[in-house]
Amino acid sequence: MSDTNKEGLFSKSNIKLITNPLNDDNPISVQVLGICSALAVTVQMKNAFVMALSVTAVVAIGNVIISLLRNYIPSRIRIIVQLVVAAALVILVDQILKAYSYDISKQLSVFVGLIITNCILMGRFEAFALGNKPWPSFLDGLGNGFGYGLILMVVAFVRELLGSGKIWGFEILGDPLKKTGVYASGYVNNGFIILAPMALILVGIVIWVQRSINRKLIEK
Amino acid sequence: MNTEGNGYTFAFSTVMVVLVATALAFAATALKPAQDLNIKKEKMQYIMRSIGMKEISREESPAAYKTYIKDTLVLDDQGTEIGKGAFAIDLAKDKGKHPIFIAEKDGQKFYVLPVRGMGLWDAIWGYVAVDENLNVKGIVFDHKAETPGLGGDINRDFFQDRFIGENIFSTNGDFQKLSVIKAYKGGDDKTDGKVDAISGATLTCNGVSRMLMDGLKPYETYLKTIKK
Repeated sequence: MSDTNKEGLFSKSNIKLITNPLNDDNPISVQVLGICSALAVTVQMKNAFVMALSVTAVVAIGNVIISLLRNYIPSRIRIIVQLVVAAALVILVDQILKAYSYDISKQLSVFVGLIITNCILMGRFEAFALGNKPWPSFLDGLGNGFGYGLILMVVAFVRELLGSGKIWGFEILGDPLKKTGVYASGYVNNGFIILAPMALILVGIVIWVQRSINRKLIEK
Repeated sequence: MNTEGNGYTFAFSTVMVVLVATALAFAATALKPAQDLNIKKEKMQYIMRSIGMKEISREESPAAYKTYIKDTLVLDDQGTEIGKGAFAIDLAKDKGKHPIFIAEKDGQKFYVLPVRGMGLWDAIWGYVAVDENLNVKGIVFDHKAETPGLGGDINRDFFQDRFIGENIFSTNGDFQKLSVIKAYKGGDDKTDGKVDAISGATLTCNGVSRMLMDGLKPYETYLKTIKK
């Protein structure tokens, strides 16, 4: 690892830190981290997007902080230190959203707090940031945030479309109350898909599809 | 440096806790005014929307509030006036105090009555605007955490508009509760105080009924004195 100093900022191995979590090492579908929030915020794409952005920001910044401190953190209390860093960042994000982006903070309400318990944070702090330099850690945080966001958007797309007939808040299937569009022919929204268990099933389907395409992920 | 010793571990945690606590305390104090302002503007927005300005933005609300709200009152549980300054009353904290906002818009007088209750998952609240005949002119609900697409729809117009025209007093002059009825058969009957519920959101709608019952009751005595 001594030659990493000479590496360019966007060398091949650094780029891999961002691209890997999108598919081969996806935090949700491969590492199976952060499932809980993936269930909670995927009813609407807009919320899922803001949640993904917030998680990305917190993982990336948290990774950098942990990485900077990695030689000073006593290993016996490292989990507590990671938790404190995660919690402090999340509270900061929450406070800033409340002050300057009130509408988003209202929509996300409890989910912002839930970022603290998002396993991706602790997972990346422990598995990556503690053993790597700040810049790769930052990229790893970004990559995992994007990978998380990707799955979130896929699940939210299906849930919003089938559950409320909308994409990003736009009623693309017509108005269910006035019976316009496809609703005129008797189509009804699937209320079941709005409930959390369906998100779990959808994540399962995503994992299935991903492994059918990317066969090296299949455990022998 | 030995980072595994007890002394180092204690020193590290102490420094960390102090630093983090200072940073968070600083952020909370520095951002508090901006946050409070948002909450205040939002409350004004609710009140303005209840008197018919549905599209008003949060930023425009303080000016509109200033223009249209002519007077405010605070009542106690018996309905006696105990003061002014209704805006500062927080229904969640100030028990036994019931604020009224009196608005005048386009020559019409509105009495805006705030209510607060519990939905299925968490708090719900609303602002009921009535005219001098105690007909509902507008109603605004919002919620903290009702299910999106089901109970969460109580803050949407299609549901709120169902209340418009209902009266808080029945035709023989008694206080009647506004309530949300599952599979309501009354159609457009505007005398019974009942409106149709949202399907799939029975528990939230029951919460709305309860909130309107408990929340409007303390205003009964006062409303009788203004009724024309």
